[in-house]
Amino acid sequence: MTNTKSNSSITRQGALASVRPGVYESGQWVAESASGAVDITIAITQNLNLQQITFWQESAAVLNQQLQTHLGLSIPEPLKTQHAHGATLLRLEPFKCWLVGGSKTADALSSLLSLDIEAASVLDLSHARTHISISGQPAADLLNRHLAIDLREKSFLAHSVASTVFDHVGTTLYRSENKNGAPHYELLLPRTFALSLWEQLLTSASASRTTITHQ
Amino acid sequence: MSAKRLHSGGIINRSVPITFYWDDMPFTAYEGDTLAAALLANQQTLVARSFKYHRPRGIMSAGVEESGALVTIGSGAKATPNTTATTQEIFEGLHAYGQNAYPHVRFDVGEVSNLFGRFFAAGFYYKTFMGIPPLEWGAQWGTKIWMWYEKLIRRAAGMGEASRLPDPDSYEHQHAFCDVLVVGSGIAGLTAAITAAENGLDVLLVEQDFEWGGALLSHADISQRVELINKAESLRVRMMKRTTAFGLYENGCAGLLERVSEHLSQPPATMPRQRVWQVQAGYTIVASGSLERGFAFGNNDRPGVMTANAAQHYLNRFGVLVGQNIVIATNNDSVYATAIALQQAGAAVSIVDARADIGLELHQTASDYGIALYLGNMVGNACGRAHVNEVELAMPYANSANAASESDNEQKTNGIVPCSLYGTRLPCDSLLVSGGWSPVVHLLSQRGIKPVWDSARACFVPPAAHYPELKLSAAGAVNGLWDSDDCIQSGREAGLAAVLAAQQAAANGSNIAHAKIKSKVAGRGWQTPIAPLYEVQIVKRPKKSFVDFQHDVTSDDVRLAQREGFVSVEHLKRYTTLGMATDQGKMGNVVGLAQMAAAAGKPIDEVGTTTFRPPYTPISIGALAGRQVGSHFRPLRRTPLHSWNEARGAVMTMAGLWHRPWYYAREGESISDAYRREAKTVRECVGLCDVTSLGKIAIVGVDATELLNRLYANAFAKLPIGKARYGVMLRDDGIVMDDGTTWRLSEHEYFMTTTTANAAKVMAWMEECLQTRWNELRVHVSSVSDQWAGVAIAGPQSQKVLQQCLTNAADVDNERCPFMAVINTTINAASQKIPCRIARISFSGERAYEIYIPSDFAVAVMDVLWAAVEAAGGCLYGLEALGTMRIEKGHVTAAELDGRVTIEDAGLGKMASVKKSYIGSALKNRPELLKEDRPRLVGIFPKQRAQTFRTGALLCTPDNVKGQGIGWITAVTHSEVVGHWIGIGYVAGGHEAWAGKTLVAADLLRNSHVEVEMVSPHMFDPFGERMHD
Repeated sequence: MTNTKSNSSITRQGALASVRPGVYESGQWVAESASGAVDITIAITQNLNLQQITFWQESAAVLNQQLQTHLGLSIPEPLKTQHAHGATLLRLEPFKCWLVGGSKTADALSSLLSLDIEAASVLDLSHARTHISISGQPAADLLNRHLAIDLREKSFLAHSVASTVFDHVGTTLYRSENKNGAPHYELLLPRTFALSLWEQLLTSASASRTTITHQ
Repeated sequence: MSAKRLHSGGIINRSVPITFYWDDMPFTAYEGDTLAAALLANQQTLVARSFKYHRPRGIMSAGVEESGALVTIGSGAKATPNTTATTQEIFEGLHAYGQNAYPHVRFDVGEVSNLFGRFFAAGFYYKTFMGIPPLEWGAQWGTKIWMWYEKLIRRAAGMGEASRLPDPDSYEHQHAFCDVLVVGSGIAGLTAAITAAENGLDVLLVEQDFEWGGALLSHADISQRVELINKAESLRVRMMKRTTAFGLYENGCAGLLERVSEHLSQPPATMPRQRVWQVQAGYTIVASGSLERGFAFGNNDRPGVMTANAAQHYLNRFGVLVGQNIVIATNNDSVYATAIALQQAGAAVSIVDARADIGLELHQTASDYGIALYLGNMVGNACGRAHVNEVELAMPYANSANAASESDNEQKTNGIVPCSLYGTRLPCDSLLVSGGWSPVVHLLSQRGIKPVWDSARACFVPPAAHYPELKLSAAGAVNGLWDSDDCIQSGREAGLAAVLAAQQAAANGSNIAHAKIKSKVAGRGWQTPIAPLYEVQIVKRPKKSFVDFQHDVTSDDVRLAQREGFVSVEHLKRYTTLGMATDQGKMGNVVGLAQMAAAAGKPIDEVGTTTFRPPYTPISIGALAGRQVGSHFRPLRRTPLHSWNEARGAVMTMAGLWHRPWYYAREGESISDAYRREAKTVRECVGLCDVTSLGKIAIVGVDATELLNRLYANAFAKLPIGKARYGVMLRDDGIVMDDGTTWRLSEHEYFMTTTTANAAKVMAWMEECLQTRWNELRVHVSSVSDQWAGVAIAGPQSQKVLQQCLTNAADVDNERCPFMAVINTTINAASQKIPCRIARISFSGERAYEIYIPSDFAVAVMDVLWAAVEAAGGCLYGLEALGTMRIEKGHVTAAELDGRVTIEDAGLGKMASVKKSYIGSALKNRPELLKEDRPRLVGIFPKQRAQTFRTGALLCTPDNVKGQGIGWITAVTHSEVVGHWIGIGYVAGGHEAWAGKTLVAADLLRNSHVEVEMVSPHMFDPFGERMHD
């Protein structure tokens, strides 16, 4: 099986590489030292590692064992996530998971790639998506400007994942554990739409004081 | 004209005076005023002109039902016409203007049209279509004159004038979710919200006004209102003011319009003007209240005529007394409290009550407060020109003629009461009317609940208060409840219904007794029943009486429509435009229906009401568009090389949602110069093109080969690993769906490319096939269009140039990389090895390679490739040059594969396998699809080589240049290598059928005809020697 995972020493230029880090408020960039509490923090992930793992019902146990061994993860319930050692496993479809990030994923991938193709297959999507994380108390409101997902605490708990649309573009949203006591969401945007969607998100965020970083 | 601001009273903030401008004249108001209240307080009572007749109009209500005081707010790009002054919140510097008048509403030359009113009766516009005999009589003249006066009519029509400048405001959308949505913050709505919140539900309460309370705002005592609001807030009810629920839709979906910054003098630049909310509610409670309506009588549109409740509202909310000498015309009890309040505020009040008997208690109360009563009387005519100054009283005509009893008469006439003026006149400066109350059933009607006529209350009401199957309840006055205690009880019941529904949902549908909720609160009604009264019809001295003020629909118009056969209420509406203005008939509908019922001799319930549709109140188009305007009209899809291309002078064009380089103009070059140069350079040397937009699909699994073999018309079972193959996919009906190449990367792994246009369609098609037809196949398909950036390097020098960039140049030598070979290799960039996939395939017809690079490395690789291409004397080329080269070669795109074409039509019939079954293989052999004279792909040359012709032109025989022709042209370009303009298209029978003959490329729209000849679609290098090398 072909794995396009590339030499990590090469500088990658993501779709949002040109976005400047800083503090954005009332439609303009302000000095980071300017007074005012930060409402929302948006972190743009550089060098995203995203692997799609597809499998079949009868091979789930084998895959589970591999994931447990190498990542300390097991296949989550549908539309749920599991997180360990910096890697998050999203179950998007009955037999499709996405593995996001993580320092141990390289070992895991070699192991998974060695599995018989009848059991599972791995597809590198690291360049296909742009990952941003959004945290802060108004984060749900900001996301609901664009996403028709019920993000209330009781409806979209931590470790939930949803496939939805952002301005008619297929998008994946999942929720991590709260960050500094505030909700923390993660978005995976199709790379070629990412800048267009980012522009919309930033416009909506201008009502808040938003800190933008690259991670 | 003696409305005035009282020294005390109301809930306005008198400590914050505000300057606003009416027709550029400055006036003072207070924070908390509406524009209507402020205009009244400043004695500005003539504030508008009517639609057809330009009659003077004043303020008629205090809410969204306003039909008179329509004004324009702001100017220039921010001008918003047809704003109801009764809902416009005042703010510092507000500029409001009268509209539909010249030079201004106080003196309008257009009023002359009132003199010709008899020519503007119902449907007059439609009648003009028939012409004006004898000028247009007969077929010879047709409607020539109509074409002339239609322009005049159009110029005169319309209310206000929308700005033609771009809307400078921003709008946005928001999604929200709640357990219970409560619409309306009156006593019932607040009670319902509190009841639901007390039981742990997440409640969203919306109110269209900028103050909470609904009808409570008309009360002098604010304690109950304050108490309820405080309680709702303490229970963490989410409360949204200035927010109108404009539509209820299926499955608990509601559309809300929030006016975010319209009330601010200088809103922050980032604040939207309006926000449309799409709310998903577990349960919805409609507590939308009811609206007081008037009735039709002579000159009932005079400034100074308004609803009685509005006068009470202006008094108790804004501290504005609408007149000093007030006459109230009514048929029900509700005005008596208003009369007392106005009397106590210093006005002299008279009540003209259509009922002869109002009961002792009311009679005594009126007497105690010194209110003059005229029982059994009606107001027949409002006198005065710019403002009402007296009213003429009328009595039922039948009474005076034959002494029939009033009740008999009313019963016969169904509330349309023929009367005569008998000489009594009452001077007044304000005429308040109340013909009863109409529940606001609009939102319920939108959910399919058909209101029923309640003859006791003389109004349409919902048939029940609770609709468990719709997860919907109606609370308060919308049910026809006029008593506060009844409304509280109704609100509580609705709140409990929501709680029970939530419990039921939590219990997974087990049937929790809904019987605990009363089906409907009965309601106590009034002391003396309402006497139906919809029109005081003056006999012998008919006066113009209005039903729909906004569209100047009169009582006579309704009867005329009925006489002309528009007997359905829906036809009446459309013929007269009754209820079609911005107020959507909130005040006039019931009156019009009653008049129609009377004219038809039917009871009102048989006539019924029209269906209410969203929006309940007008919405800016901008609000519906939200942020999807300008560059965000649709999401923009950029290739990873977008900026790189722009930096090198690419002029972009839209290809679906993609922005693709169209051409790379050098200084002084036109698009024509540029694409010809680019195509020539590729043919002679080498060119580089961003082809990222092609669809890319990863196909993985042990049955991947079988899947492809079933999808494609040509064979894929034996495609070797490391090879690519061009494939054509058919639909079930045998028509071509898409084409592209598929690369075999390993035994069970393929990489498919699709056309840019059909990338999503093909992906969805494959998923559908796997999930619904062949779920036994062990294959996973995934879109990898975003994962890979694509670059084509084409031209005689392409191999040499590419070899300079690869880590191992031998990877693309002829032996290892022959035509249609696929390799995985690396490109050297910045001393690194960047992985890539390369296939030696060609769309241009030249030796060419398609290179796919992980997207984040695209720029680094492109820098390397371009440096080599540039050094070799090559160029970047865009979509236009690519189009030229593919036309020269007769290669098809979505322009040719347009959903009508078979594989034979497209000249690809030899590819179709006869040894296997595949999608479309059966139906492609239908006799109709096998006819020899079907349009077939052809190349097209102009007969006179210097001439050109147009894409989209029809191909016709010279003796029959009309109709749909015998073919069509799909693409045209100028070919440097062929030496003249060429085209590609379809013609009946293909080019062989027209060898040596001349056809006409007919552009019938532009009347441009060019003689052409049909040639093979392979107009350049027909045997592919260049690309096979």
